[in-house]
Amino acid sequence: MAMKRGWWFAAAACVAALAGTRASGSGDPGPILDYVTSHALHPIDRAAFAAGNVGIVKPSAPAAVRYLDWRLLTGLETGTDAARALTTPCCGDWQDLTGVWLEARRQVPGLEADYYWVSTERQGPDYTSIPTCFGDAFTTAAATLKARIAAHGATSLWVRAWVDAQDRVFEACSKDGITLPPLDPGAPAWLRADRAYQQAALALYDGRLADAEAAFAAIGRDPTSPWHKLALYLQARTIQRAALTTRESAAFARAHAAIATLAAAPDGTYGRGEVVRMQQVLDYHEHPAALRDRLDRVLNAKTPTPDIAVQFKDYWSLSANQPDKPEAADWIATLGARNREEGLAHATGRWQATHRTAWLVAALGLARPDDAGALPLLRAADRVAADDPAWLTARYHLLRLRIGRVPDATLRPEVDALLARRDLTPSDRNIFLSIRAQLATSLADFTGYALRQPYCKAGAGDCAAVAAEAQLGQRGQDWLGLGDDARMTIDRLPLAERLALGRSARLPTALRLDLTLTNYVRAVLLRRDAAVNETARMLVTLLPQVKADWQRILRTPPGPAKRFAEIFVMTKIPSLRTDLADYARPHGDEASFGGYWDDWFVQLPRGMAPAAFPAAKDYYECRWWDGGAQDDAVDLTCNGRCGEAFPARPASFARPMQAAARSERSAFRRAADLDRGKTGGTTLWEEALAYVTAHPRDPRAGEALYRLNRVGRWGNNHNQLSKRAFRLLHARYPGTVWAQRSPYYYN
Amino acid sequence: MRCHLLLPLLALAACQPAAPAPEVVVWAWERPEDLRFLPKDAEIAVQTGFIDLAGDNFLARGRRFPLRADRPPTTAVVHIQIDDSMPLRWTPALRARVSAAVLHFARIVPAPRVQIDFEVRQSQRQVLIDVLHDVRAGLPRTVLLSMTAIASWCQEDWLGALPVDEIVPMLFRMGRGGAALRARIEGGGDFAEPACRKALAVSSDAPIARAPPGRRIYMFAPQSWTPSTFDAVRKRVEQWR
Repeated sequence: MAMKRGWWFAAAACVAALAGTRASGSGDPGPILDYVTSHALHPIDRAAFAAGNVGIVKPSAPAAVRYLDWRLLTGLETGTDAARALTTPCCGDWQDLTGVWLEARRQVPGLEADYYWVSTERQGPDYTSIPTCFGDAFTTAAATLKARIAAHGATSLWVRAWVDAQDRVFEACSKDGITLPPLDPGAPAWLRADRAYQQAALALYDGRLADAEAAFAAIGRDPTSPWHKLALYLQARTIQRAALTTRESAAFARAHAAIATLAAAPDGTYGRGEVVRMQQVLDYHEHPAALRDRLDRVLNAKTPTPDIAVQFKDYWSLSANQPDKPEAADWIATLGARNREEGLAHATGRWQATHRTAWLVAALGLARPDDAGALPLLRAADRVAADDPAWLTARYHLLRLRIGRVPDATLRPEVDALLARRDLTPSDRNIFLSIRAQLATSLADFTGYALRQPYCKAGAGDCAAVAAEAQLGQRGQDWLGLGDDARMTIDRLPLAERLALGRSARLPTALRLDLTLTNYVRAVLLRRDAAVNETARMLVTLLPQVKADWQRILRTPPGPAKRFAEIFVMTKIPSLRTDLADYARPHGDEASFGGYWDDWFVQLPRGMAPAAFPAAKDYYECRWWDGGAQDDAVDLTCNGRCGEAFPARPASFARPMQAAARSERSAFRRAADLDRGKTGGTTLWEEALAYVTAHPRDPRAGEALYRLNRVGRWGNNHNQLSKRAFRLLHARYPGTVWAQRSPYYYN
Repeated sequence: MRCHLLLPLLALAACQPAAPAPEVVVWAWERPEDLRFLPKDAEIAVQTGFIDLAGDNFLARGRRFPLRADRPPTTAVVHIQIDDSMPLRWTPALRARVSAAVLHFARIVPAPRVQIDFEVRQSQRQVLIDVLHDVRAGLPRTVLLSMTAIASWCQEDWLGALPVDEIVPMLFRMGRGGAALRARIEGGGDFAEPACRKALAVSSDAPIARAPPGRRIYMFAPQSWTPSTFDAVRKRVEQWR
């Protein structure tokens, strides 16, 4: 069935949107459930926009969301419909609907069942694909088939003939030279009428636009055709498509005339509501500058129009790469300026010229504390009135530009007051929680602000699906995680403080597991038996999959046997780490624990560089593509979405402990930290191998060698650990199940 | 005794000519590309399909940006991703529909190799595995099936059972533990999973000092390729030998 929508329009918009997105490399698993979003896909964020609450402006937001910010900052109305339309991603309604048709045709017996998808594009030049058929064609076909089956029965030969023809029509979505099967001369009138429509649709998909136009016109002249009412609209669309294909003035004139005819048709005529959009499509190609200026007026009107999202797409695509942008487009572009200095100078200039707080917001987003012009911006930000839509953004940037430069005690009450507000979106609350955690006066104070609520849909299970990977925990119905900044602070604490935090009942159980497991590794490496026992005791319940191992550690007195028991359990948990930065929670049974082993030195090689904390960028949750970022550009507070980086720094109370924490880290050295070409040293695993070598009768010896073989195989295999474990296993315990499970050595 | 046997072999190896230049493949990703400048021995892998899974449905489309080339691509790449804004409901019906779409885009150019680029979380691996099995079953045996992999996957033990001819670990955006893995590779180490030892991928914006030689190298650039970008990446790759 013929399409009803302007595919060229949507395609152009989508291409423009794609061109503007961050290069996705060879792809990535998509955004993880985040603590800060700039996309406003969540109903809470959409409701905030609809209610006129701009929140913290996020320059990384899609252009349409930035336009919403612009509306709010300049006193224009938004409303539910406009907020929804502008925050819905481009082409989000382009879901595959061929399945609807394929499902419907399964009602007809005898058709090919092994048929799951229909290509809706034709091959264009240079390996491109050009959309031909759209979703509503398939839903219309499915509905029509349902009606024909209801009227004539699923086994009717005429219905079967209808489906055969429709299959061919859809085949033409992707192929040239398709023809319809001949129609039986005895076919009933309804099938003849449908066949005429199918022929017109086929001509349209085939690019035979004159044929399609004539066919739709003929249908329009036949009052008995069930497609009669659609004909005028489809005829106009076909003529419009011809104009956009040929780009000839005569063709554009015909298109204008056809649209005018449709506009003049009586009320209720099918497709009359599309007239404005159809006209805009023509204007886009014929008079782009005039259209842009008209849209600028429309988009800066007090009340949003119903077509605001479509209008904005055209406006933005006509403005984004032009040097003489209208003010709204200029502001949207300046927020995301590629050249910071130029963008800052421009925004500051516009703010001074217009006194619009929108421009102050743009300048603040691009400012750094050391900029020469930062002080006037700070003063202006401080003067923004509390009822100004820019107020919250101004307060955020004031905090960003002043933190570390003024006493924490000055900032703390302000953040507390912000957090007391009831109108913060989850993103903005998480941002201020992060700032407050960084100003924490004690571990207890810190704990109150370290937890953040990620964006999850209640009951949808999407949090649960990524809980282990995202280090989330559940408390009641809520999913909670430690903020990126909080995890950085925790990793920079000495073990004693980490242990205290692990005891906190304020943390969800799953997060206590994460903390306690990393504490356990630290305790083993630091050889602190009391801490080992404390963590092992907690892990009996937190990680019961290896309960017997924790219990063995607890009942073994200090000495080599206890040490071996400690390492033995570590051979079962490959994702163990000393830091939350690169830790992954084990889940499932012991056999399904994922990850690969790290290898810690118990005796360092000579000349190893001093220990260091993990880099701030290591705390970006699953944002691998930011791996090249310098630490001073790492923003663990707003995840780089609020403009220039909020400085990443550990919480105030933790800073005096940094020396002690760094000193402890000398026990956390790994083979991966070695400079290239350097060797030597002894690892934790070699310690276990030495124990087994010296204790051949230990009942765990065979299993330990099997596991050490795996540790070397999947870990760094320092000093050929895997090979040594393999040889000893097969030399000493050849008939055991452990030898059978490791039949070959692997380097 | 074993050392004695090895010595003649080592001597023979020393007499062999220098290793040939690595096979290089340039990815033509979702942007306009003009690769007519490529030297004769460089291959092209073109993204022909894009599939976005969400809920119980998906979006499928072909390439939107032109690729200008003076030779046919040797690899058709289908990129698949899961939209996390809507939890995926991976049913047999959806699997059949998605697989049919993937196969369409895999065969849209007559390339001897098809590559699936689909990075998934641990909880979504079965979706990737299903798609790979369906694509393998739907392609002629003469067509090679390749897949990209987050490098950290190659330190785990689930890739070996996949029905693919080539796994391409990406030495950029490596995933969790990327720093340690990078150190391992740059330090002369290799991927633990043997199936990951035939090919690898590098990016022009994430240079790596050293990687195992003798692999088929896929090259990625975050912007459209230029002759100088290509030359810089290739030069670096050749230094690994």
